[in-house]
Amino acid sequence: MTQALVITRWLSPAELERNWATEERQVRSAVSTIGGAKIVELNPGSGLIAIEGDRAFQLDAAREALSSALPGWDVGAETTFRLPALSR
Amino acid sequence: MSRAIRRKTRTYVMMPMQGVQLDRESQATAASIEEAGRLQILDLLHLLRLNGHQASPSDHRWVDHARERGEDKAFSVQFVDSFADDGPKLVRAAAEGERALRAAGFHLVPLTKYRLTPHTGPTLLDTAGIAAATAQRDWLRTVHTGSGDGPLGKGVTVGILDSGVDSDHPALKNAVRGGRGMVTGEDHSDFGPCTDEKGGHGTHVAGIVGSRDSGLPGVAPECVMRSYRVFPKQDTERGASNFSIINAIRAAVSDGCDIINMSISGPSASDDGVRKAIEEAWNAGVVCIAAAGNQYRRPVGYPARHSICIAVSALGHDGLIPPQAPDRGFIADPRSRQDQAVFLASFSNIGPQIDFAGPGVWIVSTLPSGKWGAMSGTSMAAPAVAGYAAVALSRDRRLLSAPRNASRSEALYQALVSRSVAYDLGSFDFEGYGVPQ
Repeated sequence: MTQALVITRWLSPAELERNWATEERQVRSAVSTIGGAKIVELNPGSGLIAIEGDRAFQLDAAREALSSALPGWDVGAETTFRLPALSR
Repeated sequence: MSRAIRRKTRTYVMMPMQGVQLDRESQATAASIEEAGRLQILDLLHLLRLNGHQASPSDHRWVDHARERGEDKAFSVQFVDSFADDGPKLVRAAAEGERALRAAGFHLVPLTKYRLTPHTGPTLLDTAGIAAATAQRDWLRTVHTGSGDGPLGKGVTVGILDSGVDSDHPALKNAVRGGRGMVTGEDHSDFGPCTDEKGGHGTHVAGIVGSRDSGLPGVAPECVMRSYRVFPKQDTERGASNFSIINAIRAAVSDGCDIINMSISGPSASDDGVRKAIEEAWNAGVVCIAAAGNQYRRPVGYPARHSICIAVSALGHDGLIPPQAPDRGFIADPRSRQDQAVFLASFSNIGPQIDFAGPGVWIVSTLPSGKWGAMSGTSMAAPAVAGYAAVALSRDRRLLSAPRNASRSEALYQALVSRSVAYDLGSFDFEGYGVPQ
């Protein structure tokens, strides 16, 4: 079972594009140092990182490691939004 | 005469705190509290059998949610004071139980935060039903956009962040000009509707904003829309990830949208990523509008609750809901002091974060495969306000061509405030500044 982290970089689209080659290398390198972490999707300014394991502390440890390896990025847990439910 | 004994309960999700293993001592603590009669530990089966509570798919989702988060030893607990007939006594008993359990390494979350009400599909309408909806559409559209003088969204692009839109619907064919699929692992060019039972939600929302049908036009039939599908193609029940939503908001900004409608409801706590994406959009001149949520007068949900996001509650007009429609069940107090037919929909969430109100009961709009149907919800009220915003923007050419920055967003917001008329429902928390006109 896997959990996921969402990483985001809050720069303007132009800055994101300009720095992307370097930043992509940094992200891939940081993720490769974390056991059980795998990039699911990576775009300029955002990424979805799968974390192996189903325990909250595993996600927390990975979040901490990524946050310190990628100081310019926000790292948070993947959350889920729904269509507002309504019953008659 | 003896007073009636009312059994009061408070139910929580209880799970070990992060990284804490349950040990004999913590289990013994829970057992001793249980023995003292302050709480009962229930398993899922018991939970589903609580008085008056029907098992629903949402309960299973809640358990899945706990498991997904790694809390695979989640229990539910119910604080009980079977002899109390007053609230404070229960509160005291529960507080003692909570303290003891937390000290023993348990994490407690009120169960109600995780409840989702079951959803029912739209009521499909035949030709007669569609024809009968014109008066309702007049209320939705004409009353609130004046006599129709001036543009009705011309030059404005609205992003529909939802379950996808059927751009082949005759009423939407020329209105929806592309979009993106935002779900990881799926075709990013597929912005069409999800294929499950609730997949029509986004198409319905789009029709409210900008249907170009001459009989049942949207609020802003001259606007252009783009669809950003954030729900998995075959299963909306899996929900939309914050990752998809952040990327969708960014994509909509980059694609030149002026307004983004988000008829979605989120987790019970703020999501920093989504909040920042909404702020980033605002700073780029793009205004996000979101549904307040349908939890029957509970606080405004996320993302609508974010201060920079426009939150919309739902109104109804009881003269425009057919006598046989089940949605008449949503008629409730308070009613407007100006027009007794207008009411705050029973399901609408409320609170000081509400900015505006929109029609949201028995709203007839487009559905996939060329169909039409009625739906109710704050999901329907938000796109009505998105449509009003598109109309307001199209009628202010200077604002429309202004540099895209926070000042433009603020000016559009203020334009909506100044065009709004409150129905006088008795509180700002119910309707905000009212319905934009």
